[in-house]
Amino acid sequence: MLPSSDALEVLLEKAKEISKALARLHGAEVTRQDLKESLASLAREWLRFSPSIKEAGCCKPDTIATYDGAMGDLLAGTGTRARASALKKKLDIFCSSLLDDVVVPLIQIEGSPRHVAARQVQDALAGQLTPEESAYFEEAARCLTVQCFRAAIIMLWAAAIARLHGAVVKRGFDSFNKAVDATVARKGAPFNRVKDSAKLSSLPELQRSKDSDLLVIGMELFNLDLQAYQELDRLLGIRNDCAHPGMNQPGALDVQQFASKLRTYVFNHVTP
Amino acid sequence: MYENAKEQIENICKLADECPELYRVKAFEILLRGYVDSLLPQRTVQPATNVAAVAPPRPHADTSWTATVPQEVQPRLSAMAQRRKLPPEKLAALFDFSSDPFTFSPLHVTGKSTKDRMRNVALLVGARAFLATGRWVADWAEIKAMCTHQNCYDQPNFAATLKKEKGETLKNVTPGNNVELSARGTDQAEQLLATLAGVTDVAEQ
Repeated sequence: MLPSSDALEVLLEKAKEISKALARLHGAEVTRQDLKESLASLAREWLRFSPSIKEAGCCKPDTIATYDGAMGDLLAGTGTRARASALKKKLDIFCSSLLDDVVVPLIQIEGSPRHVAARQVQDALAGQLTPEESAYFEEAARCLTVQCFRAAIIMLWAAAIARLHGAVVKRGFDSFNKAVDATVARKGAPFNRVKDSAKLSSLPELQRSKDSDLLVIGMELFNLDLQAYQELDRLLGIRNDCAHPGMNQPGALDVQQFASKLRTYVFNHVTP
Repeated sequence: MYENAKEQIENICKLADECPELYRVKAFEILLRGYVDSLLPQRTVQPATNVAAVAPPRPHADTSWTATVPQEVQPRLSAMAQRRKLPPEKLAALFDFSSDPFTFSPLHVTGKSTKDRMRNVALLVGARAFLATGRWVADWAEIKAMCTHQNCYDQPNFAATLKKEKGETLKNVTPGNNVELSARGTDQAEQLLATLAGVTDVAEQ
């Protein structure tokens, strides 16, 4: 996973501290165990971050290779007898240009509006999601960062349906079937869409049921009023447009708005 | 009407004769028409004062800017422009709506010091977030990115500078996450945008 620029800034500060400590020893051999351990931990941490930074493609591979080489040498140096000046020389390669070579390009990636939009979508529901819903939201956020807006909307809808399915299971299928009876007993649209055959007795049946039916029955089961139902029905329409070939071209703001409406009508209203 | 016509036509003939042979007939026609026209009653010209009194046609409101601005953003952008007495197209020009999500157009954020510039960047990022989402909440990483872009990123003092603004231009500061603008902050952010959009031009109109 790509480290945050904050994490790399902390690492850089740590490297500068160690460099100062090494400078105080001049050319003497490094015998302090705590200093050796700090140096080894710093090198290991860098080598752990390095592959993902390389993979992100935001920095020159040669530069990363130089840092990898210096950190590899430092790590090896902590296991043998080494002069402070020699270790400092290696470390200073890292301290002098990491900010410009790695941290700033990483900041630019993190701060790009696409990543900001993705974080906003995730943050909007932070702490309110179950692990299953969270996975869909994370995937939607990843879709946003690569401008796959239709895919992001589909993932967000999947998270909302996961919430509704979870709520149905928690309330029990008897409650659901009673809600079906109450819905069927009502006249006119949208209640006449639901048939008696919508009754369920297991999770697989629920998973096979239509989302549109679940929304109508949800009016009874989750106390959604007609306006909330209509808004959710519109969102389902948008989701369906995104899932089928057509001229629909949602943008990042559409995805954000979609997430915001789901928060209002599903995640804030229906407890998991 | 044609009291001294004979004399005038003789003059016209003399002038036409001075032209090269190829153009003599055409020159004669032009000169004769000029003479005849000079004898016709002239169309009355309205006095200059009357011309000034006539109101110029009202220019149609320029709505071309709306073509590129996302629909969700348009009402917020128009309202902000109205509050700051700015033409909305000038405000819209500060942003690049060709990318999705929209970004800032190339602009230079000024300030008395690096800290001042970092604060101004935070306010501008907050304003962009407001236009995009309706919330005056600026993303921490976006502020950092714009500070590096504006060459005013003071890494050791970045968090401290923003924390110091808490209670002033910022209502909440959550390092690593976001900052929320206060009422004063939103006002200053809008002022900053108006300055960047060239509000002085508007005042002169």
